Amino acid sequence: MSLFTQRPANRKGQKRIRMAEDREVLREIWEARLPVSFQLAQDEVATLNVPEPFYLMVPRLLYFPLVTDKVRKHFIQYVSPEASGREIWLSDGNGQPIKWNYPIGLWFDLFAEGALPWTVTVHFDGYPEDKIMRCSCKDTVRSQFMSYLKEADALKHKGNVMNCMQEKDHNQLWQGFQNDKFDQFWSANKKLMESVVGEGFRHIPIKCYTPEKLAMQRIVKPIDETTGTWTTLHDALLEFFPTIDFSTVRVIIHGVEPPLGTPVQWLSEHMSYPDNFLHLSVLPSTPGFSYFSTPSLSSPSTESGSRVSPNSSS
Amino acid sequence: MAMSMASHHSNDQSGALYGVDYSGRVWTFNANSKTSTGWSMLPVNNRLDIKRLTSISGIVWAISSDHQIYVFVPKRDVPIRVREEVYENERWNPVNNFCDQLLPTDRPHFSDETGLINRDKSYIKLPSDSWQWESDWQIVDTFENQLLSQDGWTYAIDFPANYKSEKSWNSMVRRRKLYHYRRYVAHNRWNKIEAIYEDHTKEPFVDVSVSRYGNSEMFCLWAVSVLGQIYFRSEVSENNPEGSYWHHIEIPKGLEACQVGVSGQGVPFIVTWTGSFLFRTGLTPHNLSGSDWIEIGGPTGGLFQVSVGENTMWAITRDKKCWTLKGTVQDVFKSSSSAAEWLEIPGKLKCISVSRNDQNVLAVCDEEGVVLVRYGIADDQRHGQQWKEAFPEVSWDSISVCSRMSEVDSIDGSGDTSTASIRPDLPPQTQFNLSSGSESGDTVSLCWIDGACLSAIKSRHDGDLEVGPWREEILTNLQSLKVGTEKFDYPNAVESRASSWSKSVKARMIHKSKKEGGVNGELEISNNDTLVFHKSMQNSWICSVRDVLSVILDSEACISFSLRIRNSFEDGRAEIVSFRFSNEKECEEWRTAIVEISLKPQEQCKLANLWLTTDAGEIHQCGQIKIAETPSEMDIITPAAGDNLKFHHPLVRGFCVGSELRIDISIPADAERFAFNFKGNDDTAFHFNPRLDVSQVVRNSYDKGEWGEEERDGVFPFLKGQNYEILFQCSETHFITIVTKKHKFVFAFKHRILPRNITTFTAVGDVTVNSIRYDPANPEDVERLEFISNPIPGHFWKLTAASNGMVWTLSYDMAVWVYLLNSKKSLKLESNVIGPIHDEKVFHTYENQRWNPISSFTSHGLPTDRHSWTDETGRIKLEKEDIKLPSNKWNWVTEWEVDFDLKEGVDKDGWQYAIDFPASYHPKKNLRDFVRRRRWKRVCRFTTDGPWNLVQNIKLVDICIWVRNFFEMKNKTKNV
Repeated sequence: MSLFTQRPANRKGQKRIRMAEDREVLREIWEARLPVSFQLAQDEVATLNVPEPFYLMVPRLLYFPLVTDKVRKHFIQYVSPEASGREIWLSDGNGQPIKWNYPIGLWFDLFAEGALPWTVTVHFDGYPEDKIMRCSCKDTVRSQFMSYLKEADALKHKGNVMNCMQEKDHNQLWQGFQNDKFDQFWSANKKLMESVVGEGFRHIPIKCYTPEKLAMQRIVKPIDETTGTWTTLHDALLEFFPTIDFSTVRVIIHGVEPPLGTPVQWLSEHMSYPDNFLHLSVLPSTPGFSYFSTPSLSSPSTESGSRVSPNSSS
Repeated sequence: MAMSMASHHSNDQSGALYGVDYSGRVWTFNANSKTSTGWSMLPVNNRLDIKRLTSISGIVWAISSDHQIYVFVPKRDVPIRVREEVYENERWNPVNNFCDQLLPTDRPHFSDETGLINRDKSYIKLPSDSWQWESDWQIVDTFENQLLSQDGWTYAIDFPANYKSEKSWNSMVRRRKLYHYRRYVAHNRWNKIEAIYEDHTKEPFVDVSVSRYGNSEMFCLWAVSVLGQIYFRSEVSENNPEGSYWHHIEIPKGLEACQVGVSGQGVPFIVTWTGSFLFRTGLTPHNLSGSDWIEIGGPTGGLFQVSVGENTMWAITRDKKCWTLKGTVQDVFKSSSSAAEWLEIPGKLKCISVSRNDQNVLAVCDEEGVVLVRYGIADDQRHGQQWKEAFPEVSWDSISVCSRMSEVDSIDGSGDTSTASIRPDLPPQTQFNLSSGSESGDTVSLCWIDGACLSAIKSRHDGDLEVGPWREEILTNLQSLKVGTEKFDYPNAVESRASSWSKSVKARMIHKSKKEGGVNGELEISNNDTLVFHKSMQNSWICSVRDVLSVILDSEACISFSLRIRNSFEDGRAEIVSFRFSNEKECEEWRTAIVEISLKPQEQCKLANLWLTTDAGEIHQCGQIKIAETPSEMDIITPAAGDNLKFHHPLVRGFCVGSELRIDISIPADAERFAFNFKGNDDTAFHFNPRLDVSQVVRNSYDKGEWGEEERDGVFPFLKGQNYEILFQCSETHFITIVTKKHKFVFAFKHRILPRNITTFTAVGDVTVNSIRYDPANPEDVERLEFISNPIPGHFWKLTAASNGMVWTLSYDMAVWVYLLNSKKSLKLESNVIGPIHDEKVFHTYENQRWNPISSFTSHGLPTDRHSWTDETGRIKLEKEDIKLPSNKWNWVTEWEVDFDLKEGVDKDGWQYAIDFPASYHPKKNLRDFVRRRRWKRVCRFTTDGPWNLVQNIKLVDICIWVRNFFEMKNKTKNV
């Protein structure tokens, strides 16, 4: 072991492995849901009776095309026959078409400003092909998911882990993800979260998003080379925005704001989306805006037992 | 007034550092000591003025101002004891019975075991003043595991013959073995080692150096005298720190040594006044002093000072230039050629030293007396990149010399301290700040040098990522977010489908309880709680993972493991099923998956201080869990045709007081009679027989082949074609039967046979039983404790536990380990308690050769001979390549080496000779010896992490713990 270089391995090169072990956090992230109220676009209603909104608890980690089958079935009776054969697309409260290839939770954090339930408008007509891609079937979603996984693994382990996995493990990842099976997904995913104790991944798969400019990616290493300490969220953000003023922004992931001193290695292991990327939303912090006190939510003590009514039609 | 420091390295992970200050006192550095700087004086009782020192394994040799060598042995837990043995021989003669008058051809009165060496008691003396006899001569009183008579004599016909413990009519000689121990008592003081001549001023010493020979127990101690002559001290080891004799080693004529050093492997080298470098070849375990000197050409300028690590060599020449050897040291030593290529390293240096593992090179710069360290040493860059200043804030005396550095790999993450380095001549309270860049709380690693300087170089945090307060914050935020969204009781977008996922693998299952052979099939785990083994298309074996009690590895090979499964059908016996996989990785994966799922939570399981060790070296901690029995609906089993038996079911827990059995029956329209029986093995405790033809319910019992007295009284409640509900209860005195149909009809039958012998319930005759419900007696009374075991990481062969919760174990390499967790605490292993564990195994193979007149000894033997590479018996062929590691948790530590450690003795190449193969072997070749063999060994090591702590400095063969009065604890151990 040389004094000035990296930490020593144990005897004879046997290294201790660390992995994502904090199951409590992993489960909280996995089980996070968003209450979504789907409404058909006003101008597309072709029948006399107006459709009721369709309510669903949607997992934050999934993609919209995986959960909208029921939505489509609910609304298809209300649209004109020509439109009924088309692929649906969604737009959020601001009228922006929702890119389906963003995880649901990410889009919500970025644009919906925490208002619950999230009102999403369903369209059958006028697919904005210039803004969002077509998604004809679930396999399109799967191939994007897998390609993100491979990219993340290339950043973390030079691609070794994904390449050594068999086809059935890849299937297990997708099936576990799609069917909301935590154990199934994580028993395969844990291999992708392994790293050597004291070293971490090669690079951290991380992307930043702001409401104006989406999808930025930079090279972030888990350990700062000059100081030898674990890189924190604070330092990682400086890579993206060198002139950032931390008092004016909020960084949100999965709906929470992690402390800036959190090591990105830990964040990558535990708070990545299932595609193994950390998708961070960087938003301006509005003074006086508290994330948890929106009008539709009041403090737990007053609202005991009252619940919002479910869908009227099954 | 030089300042020099020595260091020690040992086989285990700790290092230590010694320093000498200007007044000749020796200080030792201990990172954990209570002084603020970590330096404390060496605990010596006599004060000497020390000039130079060298050390190994805690023992320090030093040259004092009178130019004599002194040795310091620290006091340890395990004392240094040497056993001296002697045999006393006597012959019988008619006059004096057994006496010490022996024939002239006999062995001496006191001899060693073979009788060849005279070991008269007067010859056996204490080697020096540092030793003391522990006791007088004692008689060994066991012989071949039998107790001898009080005087300990064994008898034989003549001297080299079979000795027996009893005197028989033809015993003409006898002998007994005596022993006593001598103990090293001169701890913690400087003990003078004898000089070369009687008059120590004739040739005093100027330099001394010690190292270990390879990985063996022997040390190599070399010294230089003032006349430039080299001396080697023989037989220096931990058990004999003073050594035995000085041997003068010749050096080539005309040369005079000014420096002696020993490389990491034990090879000594000298630097002469003329600037030449010579090293010693021909070192063998028998001849640690070697046979020849080989000179290596040094760089131009003449060598001044040299330091040798394992593979690299650094030197300073007289013109203050720094050089390093281009090739590796091993190559140069082996090739024995005088040419060696040197690479100049820029820098003007005064002296240099390199650590034993080549990683750290320190040098003292010429002008400012600044200490430099070589930066950038890596595997591909053995000579580093540049010099950097080591301790900018500490100023060093320009005379301070770095001479040798030794091992640094003690920094294994556990060497984190935050102490500062100081010049040891300052009073202990002086605090120093570290070089810039260090903040408080940063870990500092220490570099052990033996030379002038000591460095406290900051190293990065070796540890794992530590969880901080941010985790709690994130978790609470996530949880409150969840609470906020849960108010919305919308339906789920994604239903968890009933069809679960499963993971499967091909394996071979052997059902040990049923004594079946192996069956190939597919093992599947579905939904994380059920194990299914598909044997063939229809046939499968299923069990719930919750029912798995233990998971045990079958053998060292780690490709199969066994499960002990709770079997609810057979009392007390667990089902044992074993699975074998095609490779180790799959086995390990499945084993850990099943262990994780079946690990019982703390509340359910009461861990006892009960441990299990297996042949594979695994350790399990055992406990018991309560299985509360709930009342169960029993299946109706259709009886065999032709049997008048309508219903038959075993009552697994008998029908004790408090049990109930409830049945619903239908009586067919043409019924005549039917009966219910509570049967034991060959008796019937209660026979309930409603007879519709005579409208009576007959109650009786059957014992020892006879029916007892019938009870026929009472109302007859049954009618043909109706349904009834009957409840059978067992009270303390009676069987109570309650028939319910609009009204309750009660029958009481006094116990004649003890109800606890009841094993089955049968229904016979014209009745149809529709359902049955069996409530055994109060479950707490009949609770079953199941024996489970949880594997703990570790690899040991013997474990002993005491009643107060202490657990000590021995590994295969005779090291002792202590269990760190309190067994009452949680099963989850906290990471701060886990440390590295290792175990070593040695593999042997024998190389056999036969002599033939043409080509002397060759490996071609006669056709009837054993193979040239075999095991000890010669029957099993064992080539070196065939010997593989038991599982991939093991790693080879050494290459194949000749083993010199055979019982009968070996010659200098390790051969032992014999007339023919299975005969007695001896080390010297006689005329009639036509075969020879030698043993090769290779060591492999198993490493893992677990909650065990190594007890240093001791190797044991056996261990047991006895707890006395719960206040004291004594260890009874048997040392090797």
